[in-house]
Amino acid sequence: MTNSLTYQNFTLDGYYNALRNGNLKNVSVGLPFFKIDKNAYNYFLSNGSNVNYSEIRKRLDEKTYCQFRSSITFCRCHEVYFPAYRFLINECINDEWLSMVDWHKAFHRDHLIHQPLTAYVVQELLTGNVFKEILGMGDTDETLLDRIAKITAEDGDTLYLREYYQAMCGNTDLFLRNQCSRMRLKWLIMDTFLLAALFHDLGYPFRFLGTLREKLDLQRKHQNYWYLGVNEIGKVFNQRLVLFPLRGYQKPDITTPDSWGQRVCKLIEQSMAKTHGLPGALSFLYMTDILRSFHDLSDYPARRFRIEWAAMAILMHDMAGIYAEIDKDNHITQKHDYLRLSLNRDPLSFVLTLADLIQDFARPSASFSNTSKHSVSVAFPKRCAGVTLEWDSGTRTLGIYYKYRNSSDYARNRNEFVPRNQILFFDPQVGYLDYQDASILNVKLCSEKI
Amino acid sequence: MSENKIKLISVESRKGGVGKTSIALSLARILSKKGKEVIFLDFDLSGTELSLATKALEQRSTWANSFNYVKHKNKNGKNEEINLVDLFELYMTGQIPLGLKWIESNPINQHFTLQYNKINIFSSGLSRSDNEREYVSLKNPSILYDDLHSMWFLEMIKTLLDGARQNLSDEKELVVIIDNSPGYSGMEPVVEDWLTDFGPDRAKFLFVSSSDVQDIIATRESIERVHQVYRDKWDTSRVFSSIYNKDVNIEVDEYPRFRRFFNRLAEDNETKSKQRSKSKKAKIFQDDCLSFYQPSANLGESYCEFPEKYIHLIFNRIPHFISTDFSEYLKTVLIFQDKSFINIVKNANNRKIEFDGVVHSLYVSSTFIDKIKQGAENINNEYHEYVTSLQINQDSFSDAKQNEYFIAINRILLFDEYLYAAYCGIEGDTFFNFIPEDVFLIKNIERFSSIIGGNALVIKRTNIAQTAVKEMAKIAVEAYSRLVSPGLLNELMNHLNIREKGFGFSSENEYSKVLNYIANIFAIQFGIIKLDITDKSIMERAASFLKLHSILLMETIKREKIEGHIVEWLSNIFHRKVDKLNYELVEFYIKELHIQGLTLGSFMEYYSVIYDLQRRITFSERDAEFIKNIVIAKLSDKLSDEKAESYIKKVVFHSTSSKEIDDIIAIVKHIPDSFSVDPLFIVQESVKNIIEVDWEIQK
Repeated sequence: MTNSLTYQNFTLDGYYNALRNGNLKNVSVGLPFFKIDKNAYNYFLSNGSNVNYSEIRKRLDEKTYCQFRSSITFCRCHEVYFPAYRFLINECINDEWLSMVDWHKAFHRDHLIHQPLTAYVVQELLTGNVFKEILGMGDTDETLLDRIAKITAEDGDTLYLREYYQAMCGNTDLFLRNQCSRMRLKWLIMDTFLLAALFHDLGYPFRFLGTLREKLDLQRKHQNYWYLGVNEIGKVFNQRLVLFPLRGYQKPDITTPDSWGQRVCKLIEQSMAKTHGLPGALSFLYMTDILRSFHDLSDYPARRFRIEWAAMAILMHDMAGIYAEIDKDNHITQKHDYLRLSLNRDPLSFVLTLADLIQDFARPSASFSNTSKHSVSVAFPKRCAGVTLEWDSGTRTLGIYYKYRNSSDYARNRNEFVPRNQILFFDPQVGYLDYQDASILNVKLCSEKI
Repeated sequence: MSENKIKLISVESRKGGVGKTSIALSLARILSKKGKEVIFLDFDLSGTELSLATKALEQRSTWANSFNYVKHKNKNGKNEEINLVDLFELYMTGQIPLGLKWIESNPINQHFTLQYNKINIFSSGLSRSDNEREYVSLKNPSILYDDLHSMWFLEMIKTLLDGARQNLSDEKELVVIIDNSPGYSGMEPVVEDWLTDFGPDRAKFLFVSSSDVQDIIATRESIERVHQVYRDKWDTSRVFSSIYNKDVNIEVDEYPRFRRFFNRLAEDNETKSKQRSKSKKAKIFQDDCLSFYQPSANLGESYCEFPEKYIHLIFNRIPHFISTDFSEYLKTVLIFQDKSFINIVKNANNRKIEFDGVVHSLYVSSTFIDKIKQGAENINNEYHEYVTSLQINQDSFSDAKQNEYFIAINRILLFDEYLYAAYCGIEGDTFFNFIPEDVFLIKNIERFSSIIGGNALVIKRTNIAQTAVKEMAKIAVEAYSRLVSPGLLNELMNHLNIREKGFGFSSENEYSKVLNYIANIFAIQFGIIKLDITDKSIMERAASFLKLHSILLMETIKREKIEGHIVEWLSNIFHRKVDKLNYELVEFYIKELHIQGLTLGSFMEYYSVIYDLQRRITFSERDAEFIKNIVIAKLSDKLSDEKAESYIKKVVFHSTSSKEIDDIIAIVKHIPDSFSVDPLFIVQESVKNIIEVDWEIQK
C-alpha cells in the first residue's frame, strides 16, 4: 500500500460555519428526552439566579464576549435536551465569568465555550474524512458514525448496551439490521454524542450545584445524592448505566462477590475526589431526575436511553487519572485496566475523550497585567489557533497537531501538555484510549508554531 | 366519531394590522351559521385581547349573541372568562380540569362549557394585577420564546380540544380557528408543525396579506414554507412505508425534517401497536394525528400536489392611492366574473360615491332580500326598509338619492361580515372550495374599512403558491386587456416594445415578458421604492407607469361620453403626453412641483389630483397653467386654503355649476401642505377622511 496523507482541520471558523449552517442544532430527532414535571420546572424557573450580562461585558473584550454569547445561545437552544441546564447555566456563568475572574486566579474556566466546541469536534469526527480513511481503508465510505452504529447494534462487546435498552422497553427493535432501525440508531447516537459533548464538563462547577441545591432543596425536600456518601451512590445508581464501566461494563449477577461492590465504592470515592467526570455524570442524572415527571413512563424509552448513555460518557471522559497514574518523569502505571476505553466496547466515551483532547483551540484564557499601582487589566488571548488531524495510511499513524502563534504557548504545550498526554492517553500498550479496534497503530501528539 | 368531522384553520399574516382577526372572526361566523360548532383560539398571546374586540362587535345587532366566552373559576372561586395565558399558568401547576362540556343554553354561571351554534372564544392577553394598573408578566415571554413552554402550551390546547371533541355528539362537526400573532414567531412555528401533522384534508391555512410588496413577498415565502412542510412530511411518510420493518435498502436523502418526522412516524407506530394490545382509546389531538401519513391513507398525493386545496390567501387593505385605477380594473374583472358583485367606487378626491346601479341592485337582491324572505334575524328594521326601497327603485338612481346612498353604503359596510357570509354561500365541508379558479371576490371599500372596524376582503385567489407578484401582474394584464379597446391594447404593447398578434401573444415568452414588465410596475407602485431622479431605470419605469395611466385615463374619458370638444382637447394633451412621456417628464414633474422623496404611488396620487383639476375645469391651456400655479403656490406655502378658495371662486367662472367649483375647492384643499414625509402623508390623509366621514354618519 502506498503512503497517502489525509487531513482534517478544526478551527473556530469551522465551528461558526457549522453553527451557521444549522448542522449542530438540527441533529435531534426525538425531543424532549423525558417527560418533565412542569410544576418542578416552573418552581426552579421562578427561584433560579439571573445573569448580569453587562457585568460580564465589562470583563471581556469584544470578540470574547461575542464568542461567549454565541455559546450561551447555543446551549440555551439545547435546553430541551436537558431542561435542568436552564437553571444550572446561570449558576455556571456567574461562577465562571463573574466570581472567579479576578487577579486572585489567573486560571480561567471556560467550559461554556469549550463544550459547544467539543460538540463541533465530535460531529466532525463522526462524519469527517479522516475516520472514513481509517475505517474504510480508502475503499468504502463508512464513516465513524456508521461504524459506531454497527458496533452498538452487532458487536459482542456492546451487548451490555442492548441488554440495558431491552430492560428499559422490552425489545431490541432499535438494533435490528434493517435500514429503518439503523437510520434511527444513527440519529440516536448523534443526539447522544451532542448531549454528552454539550454537558461533559458539568462536573467542574459541581460545588455550585451545592449552592443551587441549598436554594431549592431546603423547601422542596428533594433527595440529594450529593451527600449520601459513596455507598449510597453505589446503591442509588446501582441499576443505572452510568456505573457499568466501574464494574467492567457488566451487570452484577448472583455470583458477584460482595467484595466487588466494595471495590466499586472505592472507585467511586476516588472518582468523586479526583475527577470531574463522576460528579458531572451524577449531576447530570440528578438534575434530570428531579425534573422527571413522577411515575410517568408514557414517553419513549429510546429517548430516555440517550440520557443514560450520555451520562456514562460524561463519567468516562475524565477517568484517565483513575485508570492509571503518571509520575513526574511521565512513567505510566496502570491501576484499573478494565476502565480502558476501546471503540468496540464504549464507542461514545472513546470518541468524546478523543474530541475533548482535540478541542484545545479557540479557548480564551484570562491573562492579567498591572496597568498601574491600583488597577489591573485582563485580556483573553486564545492560545491555540487550531488543530489538524493527519492520517498516514502507510504507517497507520494518526497525528494530532496543535498550532500556536505565540512562542511561550507553543513551548508550554510542547513541554507539558504533549508529553504527558502522549503517554497517558495514547501509549499503544497502556494508554487510556485503546485505539487498536479502530485499526490505528499509533497516535502522535505534536505542537506546532505557525 | 369520525376524524373527518374536525377541521383546524390557522389564520396567519406576516404583518400586523392586515385584518387577520377580522377575517378569522368572519370565517368563524360563516361556519357557525352553516351549522358547524366553532372554537376560536386567540394565539396572539402578546397582542390585543380578542375579547375586547368581540365585545365591541357584539354591540352591533349583526354580531349580537354570536359569542360564548368560555369561563373558568379563578383563584377566588369566581367564574371568569378564560384567558389562555392565565389558563396555561394553572395548567402548569395542575390546577384545572380540562373536560369541556357542550350545552345549548347560555352558560352564565357555568365554567368550562362550550355552547352550540356560538363562536366559543378562548381569548388571551397579559394579565393584570388586582388593582388593574399594572400588567403582570407571568409566562408570556416564556411562552413566546421558549421551546418547552410552547410545547406544553400546545399540549394544553390539545387536551382541551380533545375534551371538546369527545363530548360532542357524532352528527356535529367541529371547526377550530386559530388566530395567530403576526410574523413567524411565538406559537406559529409550533402550530404549523402541529397542523401539518393532520394532513391537508383536516387542517387549512389562511394567509392574509396587504398589497405591500414586502408583505406579498413575505407571505409568498410563508405559503411556500407551509407547502414545503407538507411535501416533506408526505415524502418522508412514503419513504417510511417503503422501508419500515422491511429488509430493503433504498437511497434516502436525510435532511433534518426527514429525520424528525421519520422518527415520529416510527414512534407513532410503536405506540399504536402498544395501544392495540391494551385496547386504549386513542386521543386524536394528543396521539393519533398522523393517520393521514400512514401507508393505508391514499389521500396524500391529490392534496400535496395542489397547495390551493389547503392554503389560501386574502389580499386585504389595498391602499388608497391606487384606488382609481384599481377600482376600474376591479370593476371590469368582477363584472366579467360575477354579475352579483357590488363595486363601490369612491372618488379619491371629492369623496363622492359612484356606483353601478344595476350591479348594486343585483347585489342587494341576491343577499339581503333573500335574507329578508327567509326571515333572517339580526337585521335591523330600518335597514330592511331601505333595502326593500332600493329594490323597488333599482332602475332609477336619481342624483337626489346619492347622498342617501352614501349613508346607506356605510350601513351596508357595517354589515360587512354578514354580507360576506351570505355572499360566499359556503356549503358543508367545501368551505374552502368556494373560491373558483381565478379572482373571485373583490370588495373595494377602501377607507371605510377602518370606520367599521372590519376589513375589506379584496382579492381572493387560488394558485398563489408560485409567485404572488407575477400572479398580480397576470391579473393586471387581463384587466387592462378587458378595459382597453383592441387598438389601445395594441398601442400599449407598442409602448412596452412588445410585438402583438391580435389579442393574444405570439409566444409564451412574450406573454411572460409582459407579465414581468407589469409586475415591475406594480412592484414600484405598491412598494416602497423611492423615486430618484438620478436613477434612470427607476425613472424609466415610473414613466412607463405614467404611460399606462394616461392611456387608461383616456379610455375612461371616452367611455364617460364627455362632450366632444373636451375629448378632443384632452386627447391632444394625453397624446402629446404619451408621445413625450419618458423619465425626463417625470423628472420635470418632480422638480416643477418640488416633491422630492416620494414613492411612485403617492406621486401618482398627486398626479391624479392635478389631472382631476385639469379635467374638471380646464378648457384651455391657460386654465391648466392656472391650476398648476395654484398647486405650486400651495406646495410652497404661499397660498392658504382660504386664499385658494377665493381665488378659484373669482377665476374659475366658466365652470358649469357651483357644485363643480365646490369640488375644485375641495380638491385644492386635499393637496397637502408638504409631501416631504410620504408615509405620514398617506396616514394623515386617511385619518382625516375617516374623521370626516365618521362625522357625516353621525350627522
